[in-house]
Amino acid sequence: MSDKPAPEGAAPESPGKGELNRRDLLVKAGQVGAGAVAAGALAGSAKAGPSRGQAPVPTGGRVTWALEQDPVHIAPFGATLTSNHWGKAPMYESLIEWDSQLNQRPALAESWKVVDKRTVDFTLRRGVRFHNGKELTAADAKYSFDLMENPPVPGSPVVKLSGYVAVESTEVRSRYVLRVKLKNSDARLFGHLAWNRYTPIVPEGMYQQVNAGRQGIGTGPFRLLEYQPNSHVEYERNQRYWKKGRPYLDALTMKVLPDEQARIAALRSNAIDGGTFNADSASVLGRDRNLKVLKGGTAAFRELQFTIKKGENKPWHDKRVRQAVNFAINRQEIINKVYGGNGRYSGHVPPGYGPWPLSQDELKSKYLKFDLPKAQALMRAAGQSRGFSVTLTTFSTPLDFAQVASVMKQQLKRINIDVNIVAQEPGTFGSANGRGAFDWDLTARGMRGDVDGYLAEFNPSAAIFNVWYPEYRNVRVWRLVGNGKIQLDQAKRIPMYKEAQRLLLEDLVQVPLVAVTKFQVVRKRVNNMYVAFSDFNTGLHTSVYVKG
Amino acid sequence: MLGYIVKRTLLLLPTLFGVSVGIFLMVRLLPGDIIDILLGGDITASEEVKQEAREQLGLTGSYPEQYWNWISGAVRGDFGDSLRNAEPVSTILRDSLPITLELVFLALLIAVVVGVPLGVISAARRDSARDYASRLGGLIGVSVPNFWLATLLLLFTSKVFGWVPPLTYISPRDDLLGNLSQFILPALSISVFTLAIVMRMVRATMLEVLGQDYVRTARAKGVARRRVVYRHALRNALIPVVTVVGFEVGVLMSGAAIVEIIFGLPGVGNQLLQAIFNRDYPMIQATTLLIAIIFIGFNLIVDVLYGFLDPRISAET
Amino acid sequence: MNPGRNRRRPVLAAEGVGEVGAWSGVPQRRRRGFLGKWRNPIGLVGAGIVGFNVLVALLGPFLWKHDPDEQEFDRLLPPSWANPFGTDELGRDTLARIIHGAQVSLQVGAISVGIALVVGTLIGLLAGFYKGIVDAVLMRLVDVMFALPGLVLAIVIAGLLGPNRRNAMIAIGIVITPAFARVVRGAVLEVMGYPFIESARALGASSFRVMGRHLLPNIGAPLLVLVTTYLGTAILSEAALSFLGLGTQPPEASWGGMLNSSRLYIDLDAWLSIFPGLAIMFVVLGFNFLGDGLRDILDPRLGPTVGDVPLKK
Repeated sequence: MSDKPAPEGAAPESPGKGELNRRDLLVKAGQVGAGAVAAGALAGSAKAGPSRGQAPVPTGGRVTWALEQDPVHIAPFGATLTSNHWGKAPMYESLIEWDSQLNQRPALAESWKVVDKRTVDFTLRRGVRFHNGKELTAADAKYSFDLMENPPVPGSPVVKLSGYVAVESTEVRSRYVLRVKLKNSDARLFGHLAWNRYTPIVPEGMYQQVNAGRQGIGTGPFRLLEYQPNSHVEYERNQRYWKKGRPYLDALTMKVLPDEQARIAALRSNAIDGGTFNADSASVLGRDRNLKVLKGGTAAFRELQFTIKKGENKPWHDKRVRQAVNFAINRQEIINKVYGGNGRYSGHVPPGYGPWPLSQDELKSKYLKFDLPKAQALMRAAGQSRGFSVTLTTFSTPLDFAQVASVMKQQLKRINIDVNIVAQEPGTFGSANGRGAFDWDLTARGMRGDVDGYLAEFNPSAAIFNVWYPEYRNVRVWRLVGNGKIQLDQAKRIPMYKEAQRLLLEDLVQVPLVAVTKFQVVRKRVNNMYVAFSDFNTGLHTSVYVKG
Repeated sequence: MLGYIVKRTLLLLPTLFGVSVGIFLMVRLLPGDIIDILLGGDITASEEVKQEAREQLGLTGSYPEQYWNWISGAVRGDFGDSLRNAEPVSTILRDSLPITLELVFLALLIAVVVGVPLGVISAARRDSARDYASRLGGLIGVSVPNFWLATLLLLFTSKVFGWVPPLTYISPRDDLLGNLSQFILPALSISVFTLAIVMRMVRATMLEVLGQDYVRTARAKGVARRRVVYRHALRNALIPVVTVVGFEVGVLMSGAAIVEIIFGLPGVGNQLLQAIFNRDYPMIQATTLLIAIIFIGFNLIVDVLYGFLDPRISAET
Repeated sequence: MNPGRNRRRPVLAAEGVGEVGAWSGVPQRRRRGFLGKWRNPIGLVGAGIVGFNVLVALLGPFLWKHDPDEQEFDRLLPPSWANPFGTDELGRDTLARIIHGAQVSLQVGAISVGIALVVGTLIGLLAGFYKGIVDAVLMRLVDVMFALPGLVLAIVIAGLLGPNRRNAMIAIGIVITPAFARVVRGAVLEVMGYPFIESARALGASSFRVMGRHLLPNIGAPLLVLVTTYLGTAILSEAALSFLGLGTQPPEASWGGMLNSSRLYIDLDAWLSIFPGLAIMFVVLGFNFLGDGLRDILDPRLGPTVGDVPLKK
């Protein structure tokens, strides 16, 4: 995973004919729909260290990184928490990977061939060895694909590969060739693999050899030494890593420190090399000469969500009320008050996610414009000028959820909507959210492997559709979302998803609020770290090196 | 005496049973089960898939059935595997128990070593400036939330000395000094509350004992005041301290959770809190039971100690 | 196993009412009038602090008219004439929030301790009066409640009933109930030994009457002290529950919640945590002082036997 920003041209991109391969592969792959997130448009997502020209990158050393949440487990399959992935990312790789700009490029698959609309052959890189010394073969890939469909505990048994991509079966064609058969043409395959959140390749029989919740065997740049829940994850350099000269570090430790003040104290005292902080803490830490602040957008955004169920006849079942809520929300005020002025407007696809989201201009001037008179007029038109009272549930941690809710409460008062906030412990919130047992909730969305991941829930074929808004009807949206995932021509897909987003911003069964800017603060000795758009800490195990 | 101990121990059985049932039910009553947690934010699963997952996790069957499976295993020391990382719960507890025990031990040590003398001084010099100072200090101790104190301590050492306690657990057997440097701040944070209570208790008991006949007699017979204070009064005053210490062991075991989180120590309280948030049933059950047993056990020891110190009790009970 | 009960024994078994004199300075107070008993200034100071808090809670909103939830100022302002305690992370006036928090804290203290007082007294009274099997069953129940970690209990209750202040108060009340039950039982057992109970029963008083007319009034002293101690504890517990997001819901101000959210800004704006911190300390201190003072007045010998059973989150 040479997932680093452009600067160090010195380091080999990938061994062999990777670059050449990639270019003509993309041509082929384009027919099936690679480059799902796609090139270039990720402005601002990767402002890593300054260019160092051709100077050789120093190797060695150790980095201790603070995690703000325990990984809980590090099982390769069915890991639903972002923090699961933080814990396991350094040791696992998939067939494809993203670079820091989310361009897809070959990883464990050296190349792939689109045989027909429903068949793809992946040719594995030869000579890649797992951390236990075993060579990577197609049998391992098949074993992994089978587990992706049926993740064993402690992974989530319900996170199935077929929920993301219409994979029908896999087949070992030869020692190094794996054939993936699809139920129908599917544009999501490559993005889902490159995301790597649910698709690592592990050696055949791994689950019989180790407790996958706390141990693991992968091909990645680092080899796991130990995972102690609620304490730390310890990695050492994979000496036989297939990317020559990588990784730069000898050792990587991730220390679980959920308390922000504890992270600040530890960073100041050089007990850790870096971590994630909120905007205000980052601004304070930025004054320290020995520290530097990295910032960037991520796929995480906050969203207001309604339920629209049969027989309830709640005021917000009227589209005009939902639109009024939308126009009464002053997003810039939320950004200023809660996020220290850092953040962007977000549609249903977060800004920065390749060519898919609507532009900031369009959102700000049209769909998400703060327009109180219009909101009041809409409330009157809906016969709700006297307003109503509603309960809004949200997370009790992190604190920004309750803060966004508090700001919103004051804003919605102006159209006479009285919002009662209930901040729930995450487990309780998750349960109520999954069962649709709420009126309004303030929740979060994050990274997806393919743009379909952001819009699938607006199509009745998604199970959650019938839990949240069975009464929502917009055939045009349904058609666009249904056709978008099987349209293999990326160029044709883009306008489809944009149109779907525009329609959704009129219907507003979910009201996107703001995309959060993430701050990471590192010691000066840590070079080439960057805030990954995926909300992972990819730089840590791919591009970071230490000096001084 | 032996009869008394046996009797007290037998009386524990119904309590233990009640506690285990209470714990089992509490865990089941938590809203949102492990399946919801496993789903995380990506909810695309149907009810059938969820049911399948429940079976895989052994969460089907009637409550009595589930209870029996749990408790019969627990008696044999098998608490099942964590639902979140598939590790045997007993292994996780074996790793985390020493951390919390040490933390609680140090906190109690600080509380007694500082609290007792303060109480004595306060009582011996009643209504003096020293008395008021230590009472005020004691009351401040009772009124500071430990998570706040922990934060302030961390902030202080990191700003002034550029130092925070080592982040990964150091076993006292490997490096006693490193271990202590790691534990001193968290222990201090949770000790303050207990310290204040010990101090207040010693003071009050001392005052009471000092007012009693035999002490007055001793004084009248010309025994030096200092000797009265230390020989007679203090010895009696230590009895309730034993009670507090026995009681606080249980309270601190789970009360240390927030402080453990702040200092990144994977102790029992920390594990318990995370297990609750993750709905890791076997983990919650085992940890809570362990804390309850330790609580009950220490109180039994205190009771028995009392029997030794004051024979009237065993006669009555 | 049963510290509340046993802890009392060594002390109380010693003798009757304490007509003790000598140099320790304890005794003579009993002969003075009620006010004269406030020899100890600490009790008076405590009463003053508590009284001040009640006043602030009642009158504060009329004297300082800012809305505690309105985000009308710049964020994180230091104290000034316009905002004597500064403003918080969302631009709300901290003084207005502290005043509102005073209401919340007093409410939390009063209701949760009220629950424990009623339920605990009932259990303790029944157990101490009937003894035998009633006592055994009730006390085992109390033992069980005592042994379950309060934090887990509170999370379960908040989870079941929903996280809000009312339920946090119920949770705190339930968690501290066993302490009340034990102390009451111990006190009842002691009073039961007094001759006047014998005579009341000999004169044919019903059980109900004995409990209501003779037992309850005679255990008032330890109860009062217990109440003042736990008022402080309850306020702290609400702070701990707010730390876990189980207490007062945003945007409503509570001292615990303010203290919790201010921790993020401790570096940027220390004022933010200083005021709620001081407020909590102040009121807990007040209740404890008051308790100490009351203890000295009501029964100089009660000493350490009541009021020191701690609850902590």
